[in-house]
Amino acid sequence: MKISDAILGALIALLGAVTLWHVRSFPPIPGQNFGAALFPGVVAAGLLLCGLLLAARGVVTMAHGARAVALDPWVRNPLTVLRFASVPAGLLFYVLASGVLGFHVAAGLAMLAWLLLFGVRLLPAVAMAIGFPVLMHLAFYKLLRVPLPWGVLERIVFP
Amino acid sequence: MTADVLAQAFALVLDPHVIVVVVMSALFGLFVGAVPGLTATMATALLVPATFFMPPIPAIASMVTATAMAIFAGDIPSCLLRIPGTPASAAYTDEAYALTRKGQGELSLGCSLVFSVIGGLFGTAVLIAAAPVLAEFALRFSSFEYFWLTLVGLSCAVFIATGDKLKGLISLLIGLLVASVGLDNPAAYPRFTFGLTELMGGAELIPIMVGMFAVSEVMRSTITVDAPLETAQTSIGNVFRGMWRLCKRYPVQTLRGSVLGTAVGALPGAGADIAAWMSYGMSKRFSREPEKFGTGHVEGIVEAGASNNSALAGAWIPAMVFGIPGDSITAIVIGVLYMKNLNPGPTLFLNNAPSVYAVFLLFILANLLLLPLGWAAIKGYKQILRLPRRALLPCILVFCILGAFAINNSVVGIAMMLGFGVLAWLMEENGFPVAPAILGMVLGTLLEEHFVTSMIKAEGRVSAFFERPIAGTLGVLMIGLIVLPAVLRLFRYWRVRTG
Repeated sequence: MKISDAILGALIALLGAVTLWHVRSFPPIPGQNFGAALFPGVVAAGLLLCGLLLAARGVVTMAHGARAVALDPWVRNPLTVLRFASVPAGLLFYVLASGVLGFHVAAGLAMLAWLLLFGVRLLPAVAMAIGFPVLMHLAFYKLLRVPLPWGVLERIVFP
Repeated sequence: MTADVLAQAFALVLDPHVIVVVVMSALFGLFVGAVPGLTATMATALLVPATFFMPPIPAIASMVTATAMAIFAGDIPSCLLRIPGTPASAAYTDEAYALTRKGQGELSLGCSLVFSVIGGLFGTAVLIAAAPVLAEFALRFSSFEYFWLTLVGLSCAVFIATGDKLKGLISLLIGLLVASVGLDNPAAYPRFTFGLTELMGGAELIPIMVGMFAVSEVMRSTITVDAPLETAQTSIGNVFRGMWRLCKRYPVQTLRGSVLGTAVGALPGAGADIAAWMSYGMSKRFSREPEKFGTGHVEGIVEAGASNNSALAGAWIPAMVFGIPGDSITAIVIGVLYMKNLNPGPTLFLNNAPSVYAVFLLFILANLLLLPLGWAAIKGYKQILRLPRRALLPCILVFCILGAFAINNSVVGIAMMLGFGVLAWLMEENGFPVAPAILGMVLGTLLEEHFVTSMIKAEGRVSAFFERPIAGTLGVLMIGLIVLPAVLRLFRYWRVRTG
């Protein structure tokens, strides 16, 4: 997905401007006339300037006929789009659901969805979606002592 | 270096635990490198969660070995499938594939393997020779010198290593902005934390890097998951045949590739991939038979193959001596070094000399191991190809989740990984290089700290930044780096205008 430099530049300049406005509230170091705002302030000013330059460059190329947003050919294939979107969607699902469902269920469900979407047949997909989280549980929870959340399984495992 | 230190280093490296880790990470690195779409940087990022629970030396061993293996293994699909396994192989993929199509797959693969080892060992030799000398020199540095050095490093990443300088600069600024999140600033004021306690300590780098290098890569791979992988040559004979002849025929090319690779590796922001492109270009430029390039000519593979492996060791020079990563792999490694209390910097060479020499030994070991294990990977490549990518990608994603979670046992890490993964994908789609952003994130805190410390020492006088001899030189160099290209451009413009 190619977004025009005009749009990206404007967004970056906006980020710079908002940051610049926000850092004004940061306090100085006692006894100095600069402080927490100096460094992010300089960076934000840089972003504002570079964003404007990029936007200007983008406006020129758009005047020569460049599109605002150019999509790649794969976007025409719905399955590919679904596969692509499933990566951030699955991770977002895990972020939101793992607290309640726990690692094993949430990761297993996300994995099952990914495997089926990527074209693995049902039976091997189910086997992997159960097996791999269990394997990771053994490696991370048992061996490396990472406190993976149990979620809904807590009452079953620790009755 | 005393014999005592060397003996301690040998004891550290020859520990059975370390050897097991080296062999396992070698296999892991070969696998990741050989699967198209998975990069050496991704291998390093995926190793991080495993290193949390290792002592320092095995942790470093795993990264050194895995990356050396992955950069070579990236050549295997280049030769056989015309798909670079890692970006570092992309420069000579067409050349290597053309050679295979001519029925000389053995030559193509053997050349990649042997000259990878030679380049890797050369880079290691330079690392061993240069790092301690530079460290002794760096002991005299104060915050002024470090400020300039960090700034020169960051500028290199933008002005030398990237095609579109404006986009490179924006990428760097985004990295620096991310680095200013949290309490870790001279005023100890919580900046940009959005009320989240998890962000008080700053934006955690490991989940960000896993996102930027692994999640974004998986997103890209989903598009091609159906593409069939068929090798151009089914059976591979003796890959070592004719290698000695090549060594005798192309000594200058080998040396030039290794030297350029080490130098490019040592420059912050530019790594193995850029080294390979530059060396391939240089090889063609100085070749006696430039017309043969692109038709399956081995000369460019010799030079660029040596170059990308030597860049790996080169990148460790600034990383160990100054804490400034030479490429995105060492950016991750530096995070791990801090975690293991092996804070990079010149004092590392004084206080922890055995560990430093252990790193050197590990580089030698990894490069020597590359010969037999690389050979085995070539032989077993058909088996690697048989592993379906469609099943592999979900496993990588779950592994990413675990890695991002395990650093703080918090789901915020996974959210950060997701956010930066999507950001990195968008950036690369639109021609923004990712490496400057990573460098900005790693070095932003240091840059600010050195700047503010220097300002307080100098009581606000900017001229103090140029008063010490080394700092002054670096400062002038830095200004020259920015001003010179602009002046040159103006001069050229003026010459064109005046005819």
